[in-house]
Amino acid sequence: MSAITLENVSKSYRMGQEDLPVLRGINLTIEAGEFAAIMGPSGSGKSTLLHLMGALDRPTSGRVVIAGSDVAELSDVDLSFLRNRMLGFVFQNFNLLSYYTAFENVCLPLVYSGTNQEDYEFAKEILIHVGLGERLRHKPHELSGGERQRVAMARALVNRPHIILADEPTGNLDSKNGETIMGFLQEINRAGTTVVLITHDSSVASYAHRVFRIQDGVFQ
Amino acid sequence: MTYLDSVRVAFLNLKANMVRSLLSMLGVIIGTAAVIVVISLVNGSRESDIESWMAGIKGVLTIRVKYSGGDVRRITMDDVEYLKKTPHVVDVLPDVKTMTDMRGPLGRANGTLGGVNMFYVENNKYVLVSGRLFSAAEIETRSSLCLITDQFARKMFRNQYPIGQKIRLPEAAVEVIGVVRPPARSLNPFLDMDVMVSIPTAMRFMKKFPIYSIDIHAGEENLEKVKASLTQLISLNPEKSDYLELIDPRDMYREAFERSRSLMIQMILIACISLMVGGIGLMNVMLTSVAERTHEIGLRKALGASSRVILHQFLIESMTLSGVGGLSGVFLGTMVSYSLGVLSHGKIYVSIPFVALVVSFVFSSVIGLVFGLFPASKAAHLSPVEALRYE
Ligand SMILES: Nc1ncnc2c1ncn2[C@@H]1O[C@H](COP(=O)(O)OP(=O)(O)O)[C@@H](O)[C@H]1O
Ligand SMILES: [Mg+2]
Repeated sequence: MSAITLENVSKSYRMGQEDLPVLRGINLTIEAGEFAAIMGPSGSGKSTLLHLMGALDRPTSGRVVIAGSDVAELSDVDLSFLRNRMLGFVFQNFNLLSYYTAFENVCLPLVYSGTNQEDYEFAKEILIHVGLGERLRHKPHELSGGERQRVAMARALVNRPHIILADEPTGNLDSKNGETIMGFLQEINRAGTTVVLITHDSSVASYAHRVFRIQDGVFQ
Repeated sequence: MTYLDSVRVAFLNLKANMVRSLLSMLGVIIGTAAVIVVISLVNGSRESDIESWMAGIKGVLTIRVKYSGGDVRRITMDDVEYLKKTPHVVDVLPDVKTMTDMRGPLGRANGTLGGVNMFYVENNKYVLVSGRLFSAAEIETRSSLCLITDQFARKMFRNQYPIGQKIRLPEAAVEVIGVVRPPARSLNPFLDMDVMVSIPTAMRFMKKFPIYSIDIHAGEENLEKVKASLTQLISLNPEKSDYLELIDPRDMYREAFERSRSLMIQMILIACISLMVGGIGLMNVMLTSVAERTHEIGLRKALGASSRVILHQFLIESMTLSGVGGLSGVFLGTMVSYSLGVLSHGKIYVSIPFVALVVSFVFSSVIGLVFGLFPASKAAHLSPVEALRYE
């Protein structure tokens, strides 16, 4: 079964009187368990594409199917369930909440899924696994960039998602920290999780099984 | 997301924006406090309290000279004697009262001197602190004896024993036979007397003072009869009805109470409006908060928060703000009310029903709910991707 299927997907933004097309007729299938990378210059529509694959946005036309469900047919509650249980996001700028500790940031998805003690134990385990066992009570501003992205990784994994969507996760990191993050993504993928990665760094893209190149809203 | 977690997030945000939170709460605090104070005043003038206030004027009617400008006639001694003989009238008390200079062993003081009768002292429930009251003979004659209030005793004699002391007035001297404490609250206008003497004594001191008003002491059971006969007496005598009028002071005060109560009910409305204005301030702050946390809202949605959960989170936040504000307002209002009571020496009677505290608190929380609805629904309907892209 495919994890994500895009059929003839277009997305345009309305700017004043004109429609600004960002994606034009994208067809893409990500197989379950695959590690895919999407490359392209800045402004080519990579993030827009990832947001569609993550059910954060709806296409202007075309069909988006995530884990078997057509996004267009899902209600707000269904969509939030999908994002919460099936998907895990990793962003370039980490997106941690500044008033929460590392541990609380990791537990944020649990807050929306209804939790038991085991889940909190698991959250702690992942943080220990990414080497932040000593940083549970640190606030984001007390952590380095690499550490912050590892917290964000742990948060993406806490609900055991089927698909990880990572938007330039190494974009704000030095190469050593970038390699650590990529190592974790590779490890997660080997354990069976589908990974879709956006990058414009070809050495980062080399971790992927398949690389898609996008320019001006279409694959090349 | 549990409600407890929402409340925790709310408090975290309150703490992070301390000054702004306080300012936004200020309107709710003041509004709630105003509601409490006004309710405590209104409650202090409830019907049962009016009754206790009016205890001292039970069974009393007043005849007074109509004010007509120009040449005003006065009540004569013949009138006084005549009224005294009206059937069922226990006694009469002409308003002979004057502010005068008085000298005691420790110096001089200004005080109010007035004539009283037995009915007056008993009806007003004066408490005898020390000494004794007038005997029947003493109160009927020019006895040169007096009762003083405990407050005046402290002013005049400090810690000297007042009984048996002489108070020198410009015309003569009177001897203190007793110290009395006036009732805590009463509407009786005579109650501000510091020194009470028998009416004949007072008349002697105040020969030159005109009498404009006289209280008729009928007693409760005969009040209506006396009222009827006096009404007839005055209306049948065109010469008298020209310048005299009969008043039931209880009617007068009840009317005044009704007026002040309806005024205070209007004040409750105004206080509620000020609470509403507080709510608008709260809404303004919540809108700012939503705008500032757009990115956070996007993130929460990406991590699995549904629109309804976001709506609840912001509603709980605004209700926490208004609830904390309401609680502080209840506290402040209670303090202000009791301070009013204490500072006025019980003249302003306040009483806060417990239910008013609860209702004010609930009302201010409802304000948070109502005025938080718009900002919260704005937050809930943000598109996750727009919010995430927002910096
Ligand atoms: N909300 C929006 N309104 C208008 N234009 C947008 C909006 N979001 C993105 N765009 C435009 O879409 C294009 C693609 O953006 P994006 O997907 O972020 O590119 P990438 O991630 O490849 O750098 C850009 O030109 C950007 O300006
Ligand atoms: Mg991008």
